[in-house]
Amino acid sequence: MDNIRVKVGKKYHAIYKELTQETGNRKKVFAQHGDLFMLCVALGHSTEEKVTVSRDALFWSHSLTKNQQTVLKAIAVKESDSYEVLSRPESIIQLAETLADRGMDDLIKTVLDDFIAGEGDDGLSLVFTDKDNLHKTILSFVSQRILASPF
Amino acid sequence: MSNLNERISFMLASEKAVVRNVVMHAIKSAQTEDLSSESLAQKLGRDLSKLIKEASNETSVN
Amino acid sequence: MRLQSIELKNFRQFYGKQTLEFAGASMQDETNVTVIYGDNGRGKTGLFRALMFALFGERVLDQDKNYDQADSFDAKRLYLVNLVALEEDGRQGTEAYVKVRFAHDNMQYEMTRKLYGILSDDGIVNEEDAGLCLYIKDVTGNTKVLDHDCADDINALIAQILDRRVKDYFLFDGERIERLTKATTIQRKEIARGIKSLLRIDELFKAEEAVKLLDAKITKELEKVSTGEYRKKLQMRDELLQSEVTLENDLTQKEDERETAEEHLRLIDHELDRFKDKVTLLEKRKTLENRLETLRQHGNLLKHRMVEGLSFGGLVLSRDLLTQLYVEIDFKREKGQVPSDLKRELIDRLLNEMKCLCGRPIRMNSPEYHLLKAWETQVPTQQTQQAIMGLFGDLGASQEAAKNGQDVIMEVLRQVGTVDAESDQIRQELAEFAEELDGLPDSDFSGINKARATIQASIASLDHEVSVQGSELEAVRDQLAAVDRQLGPLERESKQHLELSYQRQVVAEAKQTFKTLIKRFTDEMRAQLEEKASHNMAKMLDSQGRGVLRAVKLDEQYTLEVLDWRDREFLANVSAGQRQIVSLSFILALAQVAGGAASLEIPLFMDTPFGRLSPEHRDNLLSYIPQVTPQWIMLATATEFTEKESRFLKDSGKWGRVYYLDSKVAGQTVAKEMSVESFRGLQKEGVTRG
Repeated sequence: MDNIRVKVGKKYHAIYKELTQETGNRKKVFAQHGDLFMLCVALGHSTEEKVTVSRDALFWSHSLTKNQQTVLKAIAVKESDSYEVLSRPESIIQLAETLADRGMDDLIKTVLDDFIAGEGDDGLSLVFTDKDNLHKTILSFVSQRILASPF
Repeated sequence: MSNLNERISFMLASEKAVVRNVVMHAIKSAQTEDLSSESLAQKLGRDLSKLIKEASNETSVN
Repeated sequence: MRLQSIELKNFRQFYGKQTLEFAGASMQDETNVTVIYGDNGRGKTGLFRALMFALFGERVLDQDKNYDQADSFDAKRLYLVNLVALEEDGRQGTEAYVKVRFAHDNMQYEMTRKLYGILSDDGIVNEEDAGLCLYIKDVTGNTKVLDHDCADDINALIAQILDRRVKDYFLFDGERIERLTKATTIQRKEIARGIKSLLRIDELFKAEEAVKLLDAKITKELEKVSTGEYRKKLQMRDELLQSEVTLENDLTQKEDERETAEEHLRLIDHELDRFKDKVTLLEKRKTLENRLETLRQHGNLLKHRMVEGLSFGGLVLSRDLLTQLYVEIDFKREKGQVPSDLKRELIDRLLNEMKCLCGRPIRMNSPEYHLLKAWETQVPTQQTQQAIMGLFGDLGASQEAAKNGQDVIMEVLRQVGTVDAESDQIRQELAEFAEELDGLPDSDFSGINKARATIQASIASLDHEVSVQGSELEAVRDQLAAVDRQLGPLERESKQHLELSYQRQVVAEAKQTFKTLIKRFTDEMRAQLEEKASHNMAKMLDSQGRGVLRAVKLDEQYTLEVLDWRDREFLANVSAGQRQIVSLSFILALAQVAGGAASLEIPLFMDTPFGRLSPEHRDNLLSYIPQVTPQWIMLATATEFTEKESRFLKDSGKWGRVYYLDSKVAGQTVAKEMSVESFRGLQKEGVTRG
C-alpha cells in the first residue's frame, strides 16, 4: 500500500495527541496515532451512526503495521462489498477515515465523556492523569466488545 | 530510735571505748539536733577533747 | 499510733461533716480491719489525704506526683475545700477541717487542722490555712492544748510520733506496688530511701559525714603546725582526703546523671508504651505499604503491556470480520470464482485465439463466446486477483495476530485486575489502620526509638565511668589506709602536738568504724527485710506460686528479686499477680521491720489492692494482712470487694468496721457506716442489706 496521509476529524486531533503523549503526570495510552485510529476504525465499522466532521491529516499510513493494514483492507472490502477497492488504496484509507471518526464518536460517548474538558479551537480537549487509569478503562471497554461479539 | 541505738551500741561493743564514744556521740547529735553535716562536724570537734577524756576515765575505771 | 477516728468537714469530696471510726483503735480491740467502700472518685484516697493534711498540713501526696509525666504535679490545682460547699457559700467563704483522734504511748491526741476557701467572682478558688489545734490527754486525765501560736511545737510533737518522711509508705496503691518490682535506679533509690527513712538510719549517714569532715579538718590543722616527714605524710593524707571527696562527689554526680538518664528512658518507654499495642500495627502497616509500592511498580509495568494490548485493539475487534472474509475468499476459491492465475490466463487465451480447448473455433457472439465473456467479467482482473490472494494470505496471518492480541489483552487485564483488587484491599486496610493509629506518623515512632538508643548509649558510658571512678576511689582509699598506718609510728616519733594527733587518730578510727557499722547495720536490716518479706510471700502466695518461689532477696543496691527453690533469680518470670504479691510482701516487711520500733506503728492504707490477684491470692491477703498490721484500712471498689471477699474477711474475725462512700450528687460524698455482720457486698446501684 502506498504511503498516504491519513486524516481524522479536526475536532478529534487533540484527543489523538493527548492519548499518545507522555507527560509528567501520566503515561501514554496508545503507542502511536495509528493504534488509536485502528481502534476507532473497528468501532466505527460496527456502528451505524454517521458523523460529519471536517478532516485534517494526522499521520502517514506507513506507520500502520501490516496486520493493521490488512484490517483496513478487509473492512474496505466489507464496506464497499467489492474486492476492486483493494486496488485503490486511497479509497481504503478514505473509508477508514470515515469509520475512524464514527468510532471516535462512539469511544467518546461510551468511555471518554468524563474526561472531555470542553471544545476549543483545537477541538475537543481531553484531561486526565495516570490516576484515572484510562488504559484499563479503554482496554476493558475493548474486552467487553470482544466478549459481546457473537463469534 | 532507742532500738536503733541499742542495736548500734551492741555492734560497737568490740570497739575501743574512745571510738565508741565518738561514734555514739555523733549519732545522737545527728538524731537530736537539726544541724547540717558541717555544723555537726564543728560541734564534734568542740566536744572531742571531752569525749576522749571521758573515755580515758571509763577505761581507767574499767 | 492507733487511729481512732477522722472527722471531716467540707474536705475534698466529703460534703458537710462526716465522721469515720476505725477498727483496732485500741490495742485491746480484737478487730483491726476497716473497709472503706466506694467507687472511684468518691474520696477513698481523700481519707488518707485528710490524715496527712491533719498531721502534717501536707497538701500533696507522693501518689499525686505523676511519674508518667515529665511535668511535675501542680499542687495548686488540687483543692481541699469541697467544691459543692464552696459554690454554695460563694464569696462569704467555706470552712473546712480535718480532725484526727489517735492514741499513742498511752496518750490521747486530737489534732485539728482547718482551712478556709473562698470562691472569687471569676471562679478562682483561694484556700488559706485557718489554724491548727492539738489536744493531748495523758492517762491521769490531764489535758494540754496547743494552738496556732505553738505551731512549731505541734509539728515537732507530731514528727516524734510519725516522721513525715515515711508517711507515704503507709498508703499503697497499685502503681506504687508495680514500681517496686521494676529494677530501675529510681526504684532502687526509692527503696533505699524508704528503708533509710523507715528505719531512721539517715542520721547514721549524716553522723558519718560529720566525722569525715572532722577528720579532714583535724588533718589540716595538724599539717599547719607540724614539720618534717610527719608533715609530708599529713600533706599526702590531706591530698588523698581531698581526692576522695572529689571522687565521691563525681561519682554521686555521675550516678545522678545516670538516674536522670534512666528516668528519661522510662519516660520514653512510657511514650513508646502508647505505641506498644500499635507496634504490631505499625509493622503491619509498613509491610502493607511496601506491598502497595511493589504493586504500584508492577502496575506501571502493566501500563506498558496495556499500551501493547491497545495497539491490538482495532485488530482484535475486527477479528470476526477477518475470519468472515477469509472464509468467503476461501469459498470463492473452492468455487473457482477466485481463480488460480491459470484460469484467467486460459480465458484470455481462448478469447484471444477464439479457439476452444478442443481446437474448435469460437465464433463471435456464439453462446460459447458470451459464456467466456461472462466468465471474464466475473473473474477479477489479474491485479485484483493478486490483491485478493495477497489479502487471503494476510488475513490468515492477521487472524493469528488477532488471536494473540486478544490473549494479550485478556491476560493483561487479568493481571491488572489482580493488582488493582489487591491494591484496593490494601488501601482499605491502610485506611482502617490510619483510623486505629489515629494519624500516628512513623517518623514520630522512629524518632523516639532513636532518642531511646542515644540515652541507652549514654547510660552505658556513664556506667563505664562510674566503674572506672569507683576503682579510682578504691585505690585512693587504699592509699589513705597505707598513709594512716605510716602516720602512727611517725606521730609517736615526732612527739609533736600529741593531743591533736591523738584526736586525729581517734577520728580516723571513728570514720572507719562508721563505715563498717553502717554496712553491718544495713546488712542486718536487709536480712530482716528479706526474712520478713519471704515469710509474707509464703503466706500470701497461692499453692502454685509457693511451689515455685522460695524467697525474696534484696541486694546491696536494694534491687528486689525473688528466688526459686533452686535459688535462681526468678522475678522476670513471675505473673502479674505474683509480682504484686512479691511487692506487697516487701511493703509489709518494710512496715513490719520499721514497726519493730513501736513508735512507727501507723495504720496501713491499701488502695484497691486486689487488681491482678487470683482468688487464692486475694483470700490469702485478706486473711494474712490483718494478722500482721496494727490497723488495716482497705479502700476498695464494689467490683473488687464483693460478697465473696466479704465472707472471707468476716471469717478472719478481724473485720471491725465498714463504710460505704455514697454520693448522690457529684462532689458530695457521704460516709455511711454499715454493719459488718450483715454485709453482703454491694450491687452496682446501691447497698444490699442482709
